[in-house]
Amino acid sequence: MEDYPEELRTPPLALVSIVGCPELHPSISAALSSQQPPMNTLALPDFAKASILARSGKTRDPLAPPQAPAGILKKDWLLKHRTRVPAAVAALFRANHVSGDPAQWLQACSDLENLKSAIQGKSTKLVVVLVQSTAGDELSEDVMVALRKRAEIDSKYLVVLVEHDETEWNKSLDKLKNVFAELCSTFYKEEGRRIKARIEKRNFASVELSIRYCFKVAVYAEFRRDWPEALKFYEEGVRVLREMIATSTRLPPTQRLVEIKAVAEQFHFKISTLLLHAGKVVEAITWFRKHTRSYERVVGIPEVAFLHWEWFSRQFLVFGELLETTSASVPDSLSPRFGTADNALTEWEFQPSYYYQLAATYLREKRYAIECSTVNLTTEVNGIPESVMPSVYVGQYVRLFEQGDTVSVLPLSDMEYTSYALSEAERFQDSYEIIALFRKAYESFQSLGATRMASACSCGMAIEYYAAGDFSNAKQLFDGVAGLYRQEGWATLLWENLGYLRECSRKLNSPKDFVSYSLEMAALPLFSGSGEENRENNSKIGPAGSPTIFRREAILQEVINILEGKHSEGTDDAFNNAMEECTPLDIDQISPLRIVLTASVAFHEQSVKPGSPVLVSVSLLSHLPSPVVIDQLEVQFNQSDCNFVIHSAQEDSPLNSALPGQFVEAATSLTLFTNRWMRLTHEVKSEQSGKLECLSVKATINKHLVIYCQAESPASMEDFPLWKFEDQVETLSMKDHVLALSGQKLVQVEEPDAQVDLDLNSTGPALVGELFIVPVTILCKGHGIHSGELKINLVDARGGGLLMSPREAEESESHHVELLGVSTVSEDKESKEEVDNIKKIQYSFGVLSVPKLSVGDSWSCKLEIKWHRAKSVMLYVSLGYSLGSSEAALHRLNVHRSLQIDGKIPLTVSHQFLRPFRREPLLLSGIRSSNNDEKICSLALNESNMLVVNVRNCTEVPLRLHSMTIEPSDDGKQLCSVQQISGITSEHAVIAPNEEYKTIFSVRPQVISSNFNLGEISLNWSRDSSLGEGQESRVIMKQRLPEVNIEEPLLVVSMECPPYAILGIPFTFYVKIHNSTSLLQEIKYSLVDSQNFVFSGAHNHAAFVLPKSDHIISHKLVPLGSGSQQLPKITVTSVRYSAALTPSTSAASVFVYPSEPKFILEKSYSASDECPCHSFRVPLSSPPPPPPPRKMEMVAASKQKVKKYIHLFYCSECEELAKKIAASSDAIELQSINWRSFDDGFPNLFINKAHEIRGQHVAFLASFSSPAVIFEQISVIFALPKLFIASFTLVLPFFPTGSFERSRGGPTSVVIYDIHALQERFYFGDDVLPCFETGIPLLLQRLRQLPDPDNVTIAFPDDGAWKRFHKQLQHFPMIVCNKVREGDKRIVRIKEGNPEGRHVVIVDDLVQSGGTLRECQKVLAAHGASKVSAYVTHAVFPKQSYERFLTSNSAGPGDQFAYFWITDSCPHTVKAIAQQPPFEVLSLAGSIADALQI
Amino acid sequence: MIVCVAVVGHQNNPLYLQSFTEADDALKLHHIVHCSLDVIDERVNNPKRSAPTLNETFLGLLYPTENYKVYGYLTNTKVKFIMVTTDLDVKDADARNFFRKFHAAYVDAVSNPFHVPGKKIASRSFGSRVSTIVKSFGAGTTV
Repeated sequence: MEDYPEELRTPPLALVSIVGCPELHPSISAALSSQQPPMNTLALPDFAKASILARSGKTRDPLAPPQAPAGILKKDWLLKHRTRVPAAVAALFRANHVSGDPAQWLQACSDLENLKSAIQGKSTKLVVVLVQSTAGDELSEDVMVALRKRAEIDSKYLVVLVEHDETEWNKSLDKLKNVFAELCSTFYKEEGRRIKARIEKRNFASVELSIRYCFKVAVYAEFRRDWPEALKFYEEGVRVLREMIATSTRLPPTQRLVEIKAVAEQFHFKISTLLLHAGKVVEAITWFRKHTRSYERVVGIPEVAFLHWEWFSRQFLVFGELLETTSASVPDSLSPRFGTADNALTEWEFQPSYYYQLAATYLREKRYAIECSTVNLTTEVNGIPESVMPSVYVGQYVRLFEQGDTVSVLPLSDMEYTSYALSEAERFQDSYEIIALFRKAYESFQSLGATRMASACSCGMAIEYYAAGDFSNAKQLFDGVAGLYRQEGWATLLWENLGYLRECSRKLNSPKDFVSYSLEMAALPLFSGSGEENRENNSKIGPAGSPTIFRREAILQEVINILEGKHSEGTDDAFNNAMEECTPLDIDQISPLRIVLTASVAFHEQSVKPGSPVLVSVSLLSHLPSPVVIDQLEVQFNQSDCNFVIHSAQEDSPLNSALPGQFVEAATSLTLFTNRWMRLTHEVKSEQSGKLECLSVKATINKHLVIYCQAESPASMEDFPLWKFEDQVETLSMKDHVLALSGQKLVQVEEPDAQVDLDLNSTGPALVGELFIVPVTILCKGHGIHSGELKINLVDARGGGLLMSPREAEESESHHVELLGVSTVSEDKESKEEVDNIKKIQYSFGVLSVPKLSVGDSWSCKLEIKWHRAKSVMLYVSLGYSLGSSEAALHRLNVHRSLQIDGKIPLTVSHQFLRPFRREPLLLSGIRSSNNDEKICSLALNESNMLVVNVRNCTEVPLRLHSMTIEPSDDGKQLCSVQQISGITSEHAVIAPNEEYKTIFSVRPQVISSNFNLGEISLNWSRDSSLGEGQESRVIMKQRLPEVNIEEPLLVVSMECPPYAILGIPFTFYVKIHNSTSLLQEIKYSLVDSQNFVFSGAHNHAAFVLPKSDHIISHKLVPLGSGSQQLPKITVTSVRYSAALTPSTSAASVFVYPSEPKFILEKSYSASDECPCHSFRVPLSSPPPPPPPRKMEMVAASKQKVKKYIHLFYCSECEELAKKIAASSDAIELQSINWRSFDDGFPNLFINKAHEIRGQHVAFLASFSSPAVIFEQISVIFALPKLFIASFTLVLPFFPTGSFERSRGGPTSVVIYDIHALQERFYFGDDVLPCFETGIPLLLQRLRQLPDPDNVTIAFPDDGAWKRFHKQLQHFPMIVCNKVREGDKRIVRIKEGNPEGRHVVIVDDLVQSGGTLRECQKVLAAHGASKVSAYVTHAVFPKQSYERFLTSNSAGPGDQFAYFWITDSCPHTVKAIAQQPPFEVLSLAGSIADALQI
Repeated sequence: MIVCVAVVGHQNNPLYLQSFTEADDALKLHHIVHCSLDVIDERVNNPKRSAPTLNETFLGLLYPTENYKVYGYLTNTKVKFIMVTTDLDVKDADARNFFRKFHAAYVDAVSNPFHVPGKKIASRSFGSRVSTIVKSFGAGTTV
């Protein structure tokens, strides 16, 4: 755009001229240019210069026919009109010059004349300005009229300027401006109309004029800011111009085209500018499109094509610049849909960059054209015509021809012009222009986020650089672009790029780059093309050539050749020399060279033991087009010991003079085929634990090319860039699919197993207070220990870590569990010192070092832990050690052990105060408040109070109590004497787990005190363990006694009576009332009768007790009942204080012996003293013991358990059984009933001694064997309970549907033996308690007496029997039979069990006909039972059916029962069969007798 | 005349690119197709502009370059079709029609069970079908 002349680029401004008064010119012109619209001023200092305004050229005869113009537009026409042809001329005269001197007036007149003549023939307007110095100077009217007449102007064009007055000056200047504006407008309108009239008349011969006139009209329109008209005429001009291309013949064709295009350019520029200034972006772009389209094809002859392209490029550039400078943006009204029918424009067309890019492209086109032209033209044209210069017409060139002094202008021939243009073009550096354009576009696109467009520009730049020989810049740009293409997989574009890059690196002497670019090119996924190589010379194809598979192979071959030292053509020596060097290439996971070589490494295991081999698979893949032979492959690990090398067997080179310790392996062939994995599996052994990772695979190809290929795990392997889009068969890197999908390139080498045993021994729970020892033993089995370290940690087993609660931590710093120390048991002092040095122990944490141990050694230490509270603690002990001494010491092995240890409180101590026996305060010394003092015990002053201390072992181990003392507090020693009465003697008391130990102290306080502090109970104990004899540690445990209230009661009541009484022997019972007050006390007392005592003395009485004296009330008592008896209850009342006292029941009871007891009290007392530690070991639940002297009698008495004394009635049938029962217990007395009947058959019964059974326990033995006797027995059952008896029990051994019964005080109970059907218990009423007994124990007893008790098998004839009895007979083998009744027939089968060789006992509850038993016996015998016996509880046997079983009656041994046990529940049967074999009667008598005692 | 058609995948990678010119300007066409992706990105990613036409698959003229015009089409699976033509006046309807046919051919090609999605289209029958469509487009405009 800068190429265009100024007048073209800026909008035209109206021009006025001012003449005369030069001193005023600056201010006037400034005022005019600041006007809106501004005006330019042509200032002429004096009138002599006015001739400039006169027409310069020769005067043309207006009548002469217009000649054909030599060009379309004159170059300077616009300039002329903008600078030299004013629209109006103002003549400035000073007022005093005009009015005063006539000479001056004359001068002014002549000046005016001159001016008028100068603008003669033009439509330039004239204005006269009179300059006054002040407003007050009135000009004479006639002067002004004269001047106006002289100037031949209208009066309004005579303007008066007032010089020295600011406001007047401005006002008058405004007036002048308005005059000018009006005149200008008129002038340009007139001019425009004049030219327009010519166009309309069409009175010109050539098209050129038409165009020129259009231009002029448009320019005049522009002068007066009539943009639409300007646009209209410009467009008209362009249209005509476009037509002219084909029609005009005025100039030689090439130059004609050039001229037309140059004019079109101007027109186009004007139009674009106008449109853009008006904000019509869309129209501008549409116009531009039309413009380019119409001239796109107008190339002209090929020789000058470059001119076209240059011009074309310039169009784009200029339009781009215009777009860039214009502020107008894409209007919103535009349809959002770009590029479719309703909006044919696209986004980029609004962006200047688009035009820059195209400008660059076309400029490049121009360069190609020049190259073509030079090839064609240089030979033909000998010389370039000299002194060619632009002519006066736009787009025309002429040659200056000098002949002597005269210079003539000659037109050029096309040939001459072409060579001139070419020479001009060649001087020009297109490359930099192109690069600059591309760069502009690149930056612009980049800022728009159009990276691909930017890349394309960048690529264009790079190619230009390349063409210009600036390889490093080119390479840099290409590199940047290549990244995008790689990423998006545009292989073809990448190919071209790499081709350039490859050449650049070749030129830059960078062999490594060259090789890597070449290899990448060779590995690109390109298959297209048939391999035509015939377009080598096409400059549009880059150095890469066409992307074909052959080309790829060729490139690979070239690289190989170079590597092998075969110099290929096209490379210089330096480059080849550089290639001689070994060039290691690194390929990592993001390298573009991954497609050249990829190494996938997978271990077959995830973890491996140190020293044991693990398989590792190495797979290599190459996309190179032809097979590659690898000389040597080195696999490198992070543990360099594991590296191994594989080299091709064909290669016999000693290339790898193997490093010592490296595995070298020869493989038959290491050839990589295209797209096929080469898989190698190798075994690796690692000694070092930790991570073993494959780092890289180093492949050596052709000795020079070394590729370090970073190993990749198959599991995390990514697709190959570029190749991933190829439609080809996917192959897995590993043969094993699992490995291919999840294989890892690293393997975890485990730590070697620790071969050291760490033992923690604990002897059960720890006890609070003791120093608990945990022995720790280290036994070295397979490892020696170096710089071992033992860490000990105590953690709360319930979690939480801390061994104290946070709150407690605030209160006290002490821990509940403390690690006190560690003692080693090593013998030598040296190591002990060492240990002591390093030992570091805190409350719950300890570290100590372990001495050096060799294999087989053991070492132990003991942890001393002390519990302050009962707490469960986890003890963690870990041993860390290293194997070797120094170099392997880096690696440490750890052994961990943990142990939970419960801390327990060993002894619980409780205590009880006992005040003096049978002595109670009637009146206390003070009144106690009721609420909290209840807990405080009160002790009597100067009396011997008992303190019983109870120590209970809560642990599971026996404890040894060494001493138990009361440690009085400081002042307590004098104030209170404590004596131990019983308890620990010189022998230590051993308390078994869960046992109690009691000690009695006598406390005699000597001072009255409330809240007296007695002191602490101090226990000294140790574990009673045999193992720790030598190191027995005593623990002192203290417990504080509560505070007691010591008082001296004012009135004390004490009772005295002998320790025991004897039935019928009188004794005296004293009640002593002591008055310790200083007042006379009136006492009332009353005595209540006791059932078991008769006494002499007053029931109620009163007495007076003198101060400090006693009053004794005595009564003589005779005990009437034996046992522990309540003494008559005495109540003592103090009248003065209205206080009454009834002694407690325990104090007011005495034991009465029926006769003089036969033991000697003295002895028993001493005996209890002799067994010191056992004397007061009493069961846990025992109540506080009564005072010692009375103890023994009590125990002796209570041990004799009184039996229930029962009167047993019986029915006549059961007499025998009743007698047996009575015989079996002395607490049962038989009573009789007279069983008679009236004549009508109703029973006539009489119960003998009916009065004697009053209040006694009564039982009746009934037998419901036959219905006849039931009625009378029921009568008895009704009658007996009505005789005021304590309880009634009905014994019914065989209840026809049940069995045996009884009742006690309270509910009547029924005892039934072996009830047949359990549901029958509900036959009884709610007030009857059925009790079910069984005869099975009798059977068991009998079976034990058999000669073959071990061979007995129990058989149940049916399921019912099994249900009833199997629980009681569980320890016998059992047979269960199945019984099916078919009418009278019974079919018995064995359901389970095996009778073979056994003595089978059939057990049932009752037998009637005995059919089942017989069937059963037969079956059992048939199954090989050696003997068969039977037991039934109730042998009913109606109709003498028992006879069938008698041995004498049986058909043979197969029908025999060895034994047939029955009970005597059915008296009839028993009587009948007596003891005939096989029957044996097991009597229920004992069982009934026992049952009656329940 | 259509000089080039291309199918571009999700990662803006070429899945199919075929030029129909005698001249050896394949590389140039590659560039053009590649650059036109920028316009597609712009149109697809600019929600303001594309709001009223969310469901429109035909993207219209992408941009005119040198002697070519580039038209775009975006399938509902975000696969892009690009067509480069030398015709100066292409009716939108024609372009739409072409793309519709082309889309059908593409659907058939990727429905092939042996085609792996995301890979280049190597089907020969797709190629021949495409060239038929391209030829018919050229024929349609000349008539």
